[in-house]
Amino acid sequence: MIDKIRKEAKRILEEGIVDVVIGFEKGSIPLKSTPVFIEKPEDAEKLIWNKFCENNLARYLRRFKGKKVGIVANGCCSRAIVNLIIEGQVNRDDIYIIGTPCEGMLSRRKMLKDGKSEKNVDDSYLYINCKYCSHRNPVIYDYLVSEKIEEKPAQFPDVEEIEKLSPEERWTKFREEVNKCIRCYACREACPMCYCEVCFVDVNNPKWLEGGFAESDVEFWNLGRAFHLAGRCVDCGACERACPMEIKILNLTRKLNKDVKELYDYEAGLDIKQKPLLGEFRFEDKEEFIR
Amino acid sequence: MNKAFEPKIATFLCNWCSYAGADLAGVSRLQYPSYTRVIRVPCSGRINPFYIIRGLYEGLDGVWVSGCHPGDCHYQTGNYYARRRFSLIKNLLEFVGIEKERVQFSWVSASEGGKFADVAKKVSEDVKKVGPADKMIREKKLYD
Amino acid sequence: MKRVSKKKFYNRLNELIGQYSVYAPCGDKIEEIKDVSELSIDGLLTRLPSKTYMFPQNEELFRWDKGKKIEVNIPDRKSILFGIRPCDARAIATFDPTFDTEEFPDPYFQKRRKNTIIISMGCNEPEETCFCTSFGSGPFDASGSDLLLVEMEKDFLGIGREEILELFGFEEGKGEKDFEEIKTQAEKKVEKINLKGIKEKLDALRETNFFKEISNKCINCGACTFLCPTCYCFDIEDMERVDGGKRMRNWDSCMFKIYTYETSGNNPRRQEELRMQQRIMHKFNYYPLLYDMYGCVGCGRCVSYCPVNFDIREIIKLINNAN
Repeated sequence: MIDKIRKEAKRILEEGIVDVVIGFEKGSIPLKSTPVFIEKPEDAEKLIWNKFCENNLARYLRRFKGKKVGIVANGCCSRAIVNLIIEGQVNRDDIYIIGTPCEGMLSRRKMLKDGKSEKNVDDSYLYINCKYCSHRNPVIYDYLVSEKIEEKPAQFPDVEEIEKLSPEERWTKFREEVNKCIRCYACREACPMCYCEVCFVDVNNPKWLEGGFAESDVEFWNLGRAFHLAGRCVDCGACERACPMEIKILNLTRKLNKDVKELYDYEAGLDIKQKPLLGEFRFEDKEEFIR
Repeated sequence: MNKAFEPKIATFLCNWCSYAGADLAGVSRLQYPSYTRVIRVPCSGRINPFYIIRGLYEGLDGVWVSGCHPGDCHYQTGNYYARRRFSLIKNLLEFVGIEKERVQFSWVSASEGGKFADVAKKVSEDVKKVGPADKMIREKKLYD
Repeated sequence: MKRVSKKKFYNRLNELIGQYSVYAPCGDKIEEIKDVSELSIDGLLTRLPSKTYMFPQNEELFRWDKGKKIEVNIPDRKSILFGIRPCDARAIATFDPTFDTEEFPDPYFQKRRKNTIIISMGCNEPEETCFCTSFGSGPFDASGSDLLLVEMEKDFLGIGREEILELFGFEEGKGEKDFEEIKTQAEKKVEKINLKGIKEKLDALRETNFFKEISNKCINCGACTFLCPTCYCFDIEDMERVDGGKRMRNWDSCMFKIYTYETSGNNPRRQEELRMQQRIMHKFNYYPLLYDMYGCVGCGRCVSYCPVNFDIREIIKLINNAN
């Protein structure tokens, strides 16, 4: 698989189809792969693909406006690209997608805590959104690196477990998780869909919430960001992986993804002809909660 | 508690239907609790779900949004878009543990003065039952 | 070498808890402890650095009431900061040229600095990402601490100021050889990168494409700046309340796009590479130029926690090779 990625990247650079290829190379700390930007065909040898390629590369696409970009994309990354196309942030013609079917990424922090190394690659360390992933194959691509793999239906047992708790228990759980937040905004920057010029937390007119990390502010920030991703989140998990305080952000975003799928049968980033979730409506939309 | 709990409920009413319905309730001398503080907006589609989160952040005990019935929106489709936003924000707030009685929605038309008073009574009762808001409230006073 | 049993040391610390406010690492951050039993300094480096104590994330500068009376409350209590790592202790000294000056004194920082006894714990087992030896320091460098402890099986060895050693009952004892061994073993594990002439090399790279090439993968998330013990950028915010208000100083980050966003709409550091250039220059060029010290202590938190593995050690190697 890695050979095919390198060969294809080399080819599209040599033939001038793209100016730069975004992919992963070996990181400088254990169990980590790091994004790399290849501009010379001979550097394509640096590209790798393994179970530690946990960042979402679609996050970098908007930086290369006006250039032709090649990108190594798995399922969630390709969905993010589709979403960016739907929202008018990138042009389909400017991107060459090297699609890689993906079986999930392993949690390096958990593995390091248990003293595991690269030799014991073990699926019990899969990130939660990878474990229940329903789009392991890229949904859009110009070149597929290997055979497509079997898809599983969308399922949210992690969210359902929390839904079973009582309101008081849910509030305690939410509060404990979210109070670790230091408002560093790593989650926002790692997310390919968070590209607002000025985020709602930084806007001064209206001033939605205050600076600092009082409980109420930190709770508003996390709820607000999760809500702004309703119908746009592609469940890549980059936010939770970027968080230096290890907050379980996926609890909130996956809850919204579950609702969006159950109420409106919608999943973000599957087809470039889709309309954004909150930009359309159906007459039959559920309204039992409305008096 | 020396005094009975009097909740503060921010009430967003769309100008063309719900606000007119509330007006009709007033003109018809229908009684309903005075806990609802009305904010008139042109359409329920104008409601940014963050207003609801912000309301709870400021310490309000409840937020009630009311608009035109689907199909009757003065701007044709505003309430359809609003409907999607409302269901998502309500589910999210309930999921993190905010009591579901605090955030409520209704469709009230301009001729439904009676319904407006009814819903106002029900919302006030629900919010009174769950008590004063105590979650996600920002610091109000500096000096005790 | 000065030596004291762990039991005696902790008993003494417990006794001092009334006279001094004692702050120690508790899990992720540094908090005040009321009893020695609350201590848990097993993890080598706390996630959040020593600056959470010396330069808190939210600090109230002053408050006012409706009558516009202004109240300035600068905490003024004798304190002990216990159990931080030597790199964190040295990092506090890097704040001095900026906050503890005669021309522009920062009373909040100054008072806290004057009132605090810093007791650090040497690193018998440094992390993979540590590189403190690159700065002429090491896992047992006592500069920056009032007392450095070396953990043995049942005792602590102590290096530091006479009066602090006396305060905790240290006495002369054996341990010189053991200490040398522990020190050598630990220093072997720490990566030593070559910083010779880094300031001049950076000067030469100033107008080139170097920073553009290296900063492509940085997502400007700010995690490195928040976890860095020497970073001190801040933002001032006025918070209105029903009965008055307060002015707060909150952490900010030069990596945020809006850090240099001006009211006119102009943003001098709009591009990512300009922000990355500023960060690296601040730590390895501007600080040496102004104060003859580096703005980095080699704690390695930025390396472990960067989401995209932007490794400052690799960057310095690239800078060395670029010339």
